Amino acid sequence: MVASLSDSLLFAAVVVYALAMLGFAGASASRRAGEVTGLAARERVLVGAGGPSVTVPDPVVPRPATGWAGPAAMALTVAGWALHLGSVVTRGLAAGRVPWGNMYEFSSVAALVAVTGFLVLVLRGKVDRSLGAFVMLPVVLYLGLAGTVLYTAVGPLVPALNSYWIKIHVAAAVTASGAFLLSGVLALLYLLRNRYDERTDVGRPVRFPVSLGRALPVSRALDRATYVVIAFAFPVWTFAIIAGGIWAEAAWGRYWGWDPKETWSFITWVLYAGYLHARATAGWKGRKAAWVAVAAAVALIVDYYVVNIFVVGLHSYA
Amino acid sequence: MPDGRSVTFARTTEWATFQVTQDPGKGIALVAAVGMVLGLCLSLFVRRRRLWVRALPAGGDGGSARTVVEVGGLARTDPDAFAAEFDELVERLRATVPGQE
Repeated sequence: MVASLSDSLLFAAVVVYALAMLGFAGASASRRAGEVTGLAARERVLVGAGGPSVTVPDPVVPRPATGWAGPAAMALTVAGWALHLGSVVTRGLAAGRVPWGNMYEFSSVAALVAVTGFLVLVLRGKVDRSLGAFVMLPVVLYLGLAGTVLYTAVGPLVPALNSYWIKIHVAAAVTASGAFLLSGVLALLYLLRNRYDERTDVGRPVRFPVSLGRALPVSRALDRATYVVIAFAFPVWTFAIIAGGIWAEAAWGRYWGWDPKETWSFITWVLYAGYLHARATAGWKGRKAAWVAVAAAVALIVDYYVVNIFVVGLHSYA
Repeated sequence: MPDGRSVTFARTTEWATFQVTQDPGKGIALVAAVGMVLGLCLSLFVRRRRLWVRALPAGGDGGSARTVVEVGGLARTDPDAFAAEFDELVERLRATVPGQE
């Protein structure tokens, strides 16, 4: 009963997130439509001044900029977040344990952390909500995949995970992972906006993926947001690896054994450490640092999905 | 079996494997790891910034004596946030000094 409630809540959350995404996209589209209206009005005046007797056909006037789509999308995101949180909590209640015991649950909680991070960034004024559509799109796809491909019915933990360390090690890992995924999206958006600025500054035309950059916050804000999120997640990730080592020592008799999961966690850690150094180094800050953040996020995805599903190792369960 | 042979269950042998490890260095590794996390948090969350204020007499005497106040700042962490903080500090300094030009 509670288990199916959790599933329904997740489905509802995905639907509300998708609506929020459309709202964010509508907000930036109507802003752009507003720009076009201004342009059309100017042109009409010019033509009218040239020949008063000429009848000017009314140009197609786009919808004027509306102010409610953005706030409504924010409200929907908060509502979706509440549904999502409800789904995670009821999942935990149904299973009688922490709700991060398999890949489906882990992915759902990681997405919840990412959305929480996005909301915190926007509400604290670190970034403009105009990037909402670009954040909600991967969230919707990710949750959609988690809820279908990775879906696992409520059940007890596999014996290997039945330890109080799952509360410590996995809680830290999922928190850091969610934040890292968010930082990966922010870094990609930074690169997009950066490319857009670079081309428009010299008056070169922008084509499709780059032209999306117009709807994004300024690249400086995106760079700072990426940094803030990674600076938060990196110590948490470090702690997760150390706690994993303590658990490994208790369970397998050694704290580090170059198991595939351990190796990829280490690679991810090194790349994020590289990002933090790159961002503070002249000649590496900006675009190069952002690429390091993207590479690190890819390593994280390999660490979690590829290692769990395709590689045989001590973490091959769930 | 189809060809007339038979398979019988003979016996089982109980067995167990033991893996024994001894790692006298693990305590040191733990202390080092904890120290690393603490150092990491300090380096990420303590904002290192420096501020210089230099007041130099710039000629004149008595009622017309002038002092030039120079303010400089350097941030090792988060320069963007420091720029705003620096401006605010300069404003506060300005407000406390009477009779400026």
